[in-house]
Amino acid sequence: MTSITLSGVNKSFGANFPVISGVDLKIDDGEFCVFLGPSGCGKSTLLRMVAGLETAYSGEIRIGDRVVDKVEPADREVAMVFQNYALYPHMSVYDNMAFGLRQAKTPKDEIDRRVREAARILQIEPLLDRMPKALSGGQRQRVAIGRAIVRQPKVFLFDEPLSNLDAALRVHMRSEIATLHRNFPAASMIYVTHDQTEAMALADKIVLLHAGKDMLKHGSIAQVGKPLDLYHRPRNLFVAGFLGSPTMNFIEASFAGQQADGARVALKSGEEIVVPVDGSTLAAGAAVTLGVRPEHLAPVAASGAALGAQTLTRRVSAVEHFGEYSFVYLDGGTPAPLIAKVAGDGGFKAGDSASFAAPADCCHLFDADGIALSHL
Amino acid sequence: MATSPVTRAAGRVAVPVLGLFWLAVTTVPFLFMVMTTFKTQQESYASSVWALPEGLNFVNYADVLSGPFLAYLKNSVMVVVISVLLIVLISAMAAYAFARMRFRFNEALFGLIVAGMIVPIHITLVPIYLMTRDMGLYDSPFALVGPYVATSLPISVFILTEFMRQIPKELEEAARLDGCGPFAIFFKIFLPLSGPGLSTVAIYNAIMLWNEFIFAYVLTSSTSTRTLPLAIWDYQGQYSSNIPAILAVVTLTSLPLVVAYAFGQEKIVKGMMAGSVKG
Amino acid sequence: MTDISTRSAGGGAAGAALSLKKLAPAVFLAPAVLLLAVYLIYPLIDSFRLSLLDWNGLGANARFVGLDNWKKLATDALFWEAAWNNILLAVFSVLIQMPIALILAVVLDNAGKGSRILKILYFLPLLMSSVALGVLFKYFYDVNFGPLNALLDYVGLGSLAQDWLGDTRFALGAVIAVVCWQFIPFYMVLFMAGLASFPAEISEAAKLDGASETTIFWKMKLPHLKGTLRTAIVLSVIGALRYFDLIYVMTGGGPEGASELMATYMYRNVFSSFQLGYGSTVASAMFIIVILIASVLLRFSKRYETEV
Repeated sequence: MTSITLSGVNKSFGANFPVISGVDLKIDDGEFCVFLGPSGCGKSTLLRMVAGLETAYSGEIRIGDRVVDKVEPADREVAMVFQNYALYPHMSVYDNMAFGLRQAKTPKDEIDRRVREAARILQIEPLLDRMPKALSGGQRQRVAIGRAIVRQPKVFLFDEPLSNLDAALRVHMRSEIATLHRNFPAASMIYVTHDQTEAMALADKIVLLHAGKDMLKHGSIAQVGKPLDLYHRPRNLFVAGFLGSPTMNFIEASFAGQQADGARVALKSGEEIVVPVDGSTLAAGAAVTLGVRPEHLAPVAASGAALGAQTLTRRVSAVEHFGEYSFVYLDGGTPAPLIAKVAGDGGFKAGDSASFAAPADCCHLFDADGIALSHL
Repeated sequence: MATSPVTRAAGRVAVPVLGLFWLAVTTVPFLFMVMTTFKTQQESYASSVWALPEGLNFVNYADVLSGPFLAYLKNSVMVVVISVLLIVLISAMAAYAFARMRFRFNEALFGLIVAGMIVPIHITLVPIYLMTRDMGLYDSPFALVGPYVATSLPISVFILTEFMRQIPKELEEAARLDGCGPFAIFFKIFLPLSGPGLSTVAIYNAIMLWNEFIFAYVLTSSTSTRTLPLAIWDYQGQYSSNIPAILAVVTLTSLPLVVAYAFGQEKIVKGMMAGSVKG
Repeated sequence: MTDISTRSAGGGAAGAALSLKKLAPAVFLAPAVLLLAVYLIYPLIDSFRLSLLDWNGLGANARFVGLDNWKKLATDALFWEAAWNNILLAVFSVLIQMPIALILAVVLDNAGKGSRILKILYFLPLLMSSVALGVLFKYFYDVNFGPLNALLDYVGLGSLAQDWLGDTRFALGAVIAVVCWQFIPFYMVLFMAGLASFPAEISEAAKLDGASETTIFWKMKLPHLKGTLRTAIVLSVIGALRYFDLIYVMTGGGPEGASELMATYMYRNVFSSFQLGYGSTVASAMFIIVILIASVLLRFSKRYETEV
């Protein structure tokens, strides 16, 4: 009943400035869905359309079975947590949480019960009489969430709720939001962020949006799926590059032929790599892009003729040590250096030559349009 | 280009000297005024104008207060209070519409109202005089409320619109999600949050209207209907040769604002400076 | 989850809410627009209508005379003298008020702790009504009993004593002095705000570059005040063109029109000579002159701004 369906949704600001294009999306009952994307991709706009704060779009939005395009925000059974919290500065914490219920003419004792219950869940009972300006960032965040909880909505909407908090608090509040999701299993949640860590940590489903030319060409949605699906099976170069830090290494190559265990590609530096994808649609010599995540490049001790297949040998240009792991920057063959993430100190020195294996099932191959070739 | 010691010394002397000089320029007329009010009429003729009064003689004040002065005061308080309340409410409503609502001609209408700030009110004087006469309001203090509110609206709408544009949009959106329509948002969110802007507008207009002369002069004619600035005018005619008594009226008329100033200088200075918005 | 769902009655309620929302701007604007229409727009138009009449303002004896009043105005030396006096008032207001206000602002800016109390006291004249000031200074300038002449006598400059308000040579100047006295603190506070907004890091950087306080003032702070100064000039000129109260109280425009302004001339025509039609012509002409000068000033100051 609380699924959210968007069909053929488009929106532009003014006549010539599209922000959302061709969004078809279903968010299931009780699902935690994250809208993720770079700034300007329209993720907040999309959320505000579900809330009813953005009007004048084409397409249809349903919450449950009801088409809500003409329904006032207050009547959509949604609650929203804003980026800057949007607490009413002239009202106490209690009044902030009670305000919506009072507007709805909820009986007084019922309001009191719900506010105290929410305060208990969020551990802000001692703060109920305070004014918002007397609260810390984390406390304000809790009050904003409390204001959403008391309305017992069918859908929770979060608009970058953690971006005003410092790093440590952000991790903490992230886990609290996950707890909130567990406590209200019936409610669906839509959460907007530009932070992939938050998205990976929280989401049942990620909707990755892209902006600008890609949006105009392919529609707003770059890929929808479970976090690990997006991570391990990105549909295109944009998704592959957006998720993961440091970003996936991209190496220009040419298609050298299809064999039983995958597509063989030749790198400009001479190596050949086999990627277990279906390259049958490609012409011989077609330009492709090979993608390998830094953590998948495994150091190989052997050298020279002893090297097996699937290896790259490069000069080390720099090493960054983080204790637990190190980033090894490798020169050659690409405009940006390749990065390998190795465990511990790794034992590399700038100026050395080093070899790394790229295991076949960790390699991705993209055609000239940037679309991923499907894995075998 | 280092400052020479001579220049620096000159600067150290110039600052207090100039500061005190202007203090004298500002306050001497006032001190003189208050001093004179304690003289009797005879004394004011007989002794030098700069001579101190023989004692604290309140006869002039008693004289003035035993006359119709309190009727003027009552009218002033009534007209200013009613006008300022209306100005604040009406201009806040319009400002909310201009700051936050999307409708056709928003900017054009706002520009037109703001342009009203430079209109010389004197052009409206005769038509308003005729209108007031036709409405049967002539020589009633209530005749002043309409012109007072209307002429104060342009600057008030301007100040409050600028103020309300600073209120975060998200608060309004949160309120919409909480079930507020435009009226609930205005009364429950924008009005309480506009406190500083509203008080600026209230202070500015209260002072301007407390001192307003020309409309009051033209639209009222009897002692029982006139406001304080007219008290000075009327007493001046009546006591033309009793200078201490006239100055006592001037002092008494100015007293309420001076007392208010003593309590909230910063707010009043800020409110008065609201008149400095660029046209 | 009952309370929210019961409220969502569906299309009907939402439709009603939407149409109410469309009407909302009109409802919020109605009181302001109505009052302005009645007390500003209508009188403005009516004034031009009245300017075409010959009427004493009483009874039904108004006579339509077309542009006769305007023709009369074009050659009315008294009106043009009044307009000229307005311009003198504007020019001297700017020339006297701006430099003194700026000097005082700089003084208070450097005065440290005492500046607050000085600022508060300087501001007092702005709280006074023009009528109060008019009466006070009328007495101050009085030829026989006025403290100004008494003071001149006392310091041995008795020969300089004048009938300040009764002499055509001095009346306008005497009034301008009071206007300046009242409004200098206003512009002073304006300039102080401008000086306060000058970023401290810039003067610190300039000091490290070896600039003296004087250099910082002339080369940096003064250019920083350019916008404020422009605002001040616009305000002062527009104020001077509309001036009425103080002059009306102090001189009534006299002697012999020496301190007559457009507004006092209008007032005299309507309420003393009962030439309501011609008075309205003067008022309308005054409106046109003020709007013309104001728009030229604003246009000029804006164009200047985009160049900066």
